[in-house]
Amino acid sequence: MVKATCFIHENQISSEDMALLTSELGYFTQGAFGMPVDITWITVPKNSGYTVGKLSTTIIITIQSNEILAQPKRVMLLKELCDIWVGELGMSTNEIVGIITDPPN
Amino acid sequence: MPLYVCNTRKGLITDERKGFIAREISRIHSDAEGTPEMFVHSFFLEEDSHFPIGDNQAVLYIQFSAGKSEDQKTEIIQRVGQAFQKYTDIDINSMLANTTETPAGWIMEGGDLLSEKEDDENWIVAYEAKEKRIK
Repeated sequence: MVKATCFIHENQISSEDMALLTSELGYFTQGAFGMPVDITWITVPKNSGYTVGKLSTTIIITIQSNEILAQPKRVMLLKELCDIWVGELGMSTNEIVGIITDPPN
Repeated sequence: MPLYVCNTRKGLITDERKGFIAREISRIHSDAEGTPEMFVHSFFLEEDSHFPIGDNQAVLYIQFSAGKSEDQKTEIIQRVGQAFQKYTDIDINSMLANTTETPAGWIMEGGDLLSEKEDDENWIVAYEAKEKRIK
């Protein structure tokens, strides 16, 4: 399994959309890393997430690659990852922080 | 990025005070690193099992982009701790701070990789231009 951690905000994403995202992220990791995804969703309570000191709508998703990635591949995958959120939820790219790490040493 | 996640015991910080602290964190990080405040994320959780508190009142996890000196990190942590002292009754001796560093080239924000330099003016101008087009 490829591990993913995703910060979202309370009431930001419906259960239907979360199921859709889980499915899309699974397709993504299967295509990118040849493995299904194991997502840890961390929900930030209402009035508890801030960006630039104002209430935040930014989601932060981190995926841990199962291999050391060459940078061009990482960039391509990051774009694909962020596009999932834009495409499925209609979010702005500025509301999405995507991180793809190498496996731990 | 950066991301500040504060996990506390229940009821230790009011929503209003969370806003005050988040603004202080944004200012502190921006002062120390030159990062525009718009990139500073502060999330407050209560007894979230993903960020163990142990016997403490609170734990602060900070995810920086890589390349900071120990002095820079220490200064930020101390000043953020002071902000918590200013706005909450949390005992600073009962608050842990953990940091992780992630290479900027592993992070995409606003559709672009982060710059290795947090105060990269060209990157910031491009980001702001995109934000205006979106609005």
